[in-house]
Amino acid sequence: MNRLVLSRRRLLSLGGVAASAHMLAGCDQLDFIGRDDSRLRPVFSAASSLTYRVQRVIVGDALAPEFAESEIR
Amino acid sequence: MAKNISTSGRIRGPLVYQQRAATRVAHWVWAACFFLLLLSGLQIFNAHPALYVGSESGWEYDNAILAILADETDGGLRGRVRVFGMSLDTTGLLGVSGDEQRAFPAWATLPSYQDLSIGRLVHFFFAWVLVVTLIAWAVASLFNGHFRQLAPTVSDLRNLPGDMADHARGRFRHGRNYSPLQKLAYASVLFVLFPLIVLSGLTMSPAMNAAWPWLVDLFGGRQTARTVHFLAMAFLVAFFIIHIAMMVLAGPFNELRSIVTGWYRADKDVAPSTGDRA
Repeated sequence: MNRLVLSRRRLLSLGGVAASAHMLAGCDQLDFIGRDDSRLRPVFSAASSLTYRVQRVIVGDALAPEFAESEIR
Repeated sequence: MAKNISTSGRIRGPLVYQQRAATRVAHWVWAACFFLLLLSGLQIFNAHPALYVGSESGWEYDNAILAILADETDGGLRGRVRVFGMSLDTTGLLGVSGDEQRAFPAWATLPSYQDLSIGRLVHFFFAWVLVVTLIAWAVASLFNGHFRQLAPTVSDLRNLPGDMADHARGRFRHGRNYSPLQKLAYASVLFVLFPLIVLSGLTMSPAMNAAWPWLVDLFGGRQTARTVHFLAMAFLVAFFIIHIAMMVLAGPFNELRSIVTGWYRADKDVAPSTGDRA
């Protein structure tokens, strides 16, 4: 048996996976997330609040880093 | 000893428990995160489709290593990618697509239309999911033996050239544990690309620059961190494509079963051991 050659079955399944990956990426099915009345909006916004709170804990009283004049053009 | 005979009459190897529960859950969470972070990340990139190297910022000279541009020509809008000084016409894919000026096309961004704030909202949400899952998976892997499955051994290094030759010929071994190339690929993603993409992402945050100034020094500037973030994404996309191709070629049913249930059908020359199933 020649094990080097792609069998037709494998080629077909490869094509199927490629097609489904294309469909997953190639659509605007997820655009509803951006609508103001989307029920997912509060869920995503909750992550922003988490980011804010965690950053305030980590940052504390630290100030923004200063850059030398040579680093600014 | 009873032999495993499949319905087709072939002798089969033992069914071994390969993927731990934490690994399986983390795998599928990361798979979802990968897509949503990729699409929302390209949305964010589209807001300023150029990458720079260096710690300086300003307009005095051009330190862009990659820029996706749109040119107004007599024949209409043309998309162009400038990478390391080379210029490529990419109309239809990059720069101009759907008769519109946009770096990455609508099908590759989330949302499909231009919206930086929604892109950021989605990106940071799934960034949290990725990081929390990564930490939980790492803690679990300390105890369930998964790190030992991933760690390359001396014999792995010795078998690496042979394993590469096997993969190049499409001859896949289904062993009790990962093959040397598998370990290399998975370890690169988990221990190199994941930390790199998380840290370079954090470096782009002004608040994190204040909290941990060493991050900016580590990457050699915020702009370089952005470039590193993009390159790590490109490597992850390459990994994803090869990962899917290998899964399909090595036997999609068996491979999918092992990442859903944990049980993996080994080759018939793999000696059965306690804990295996028939």
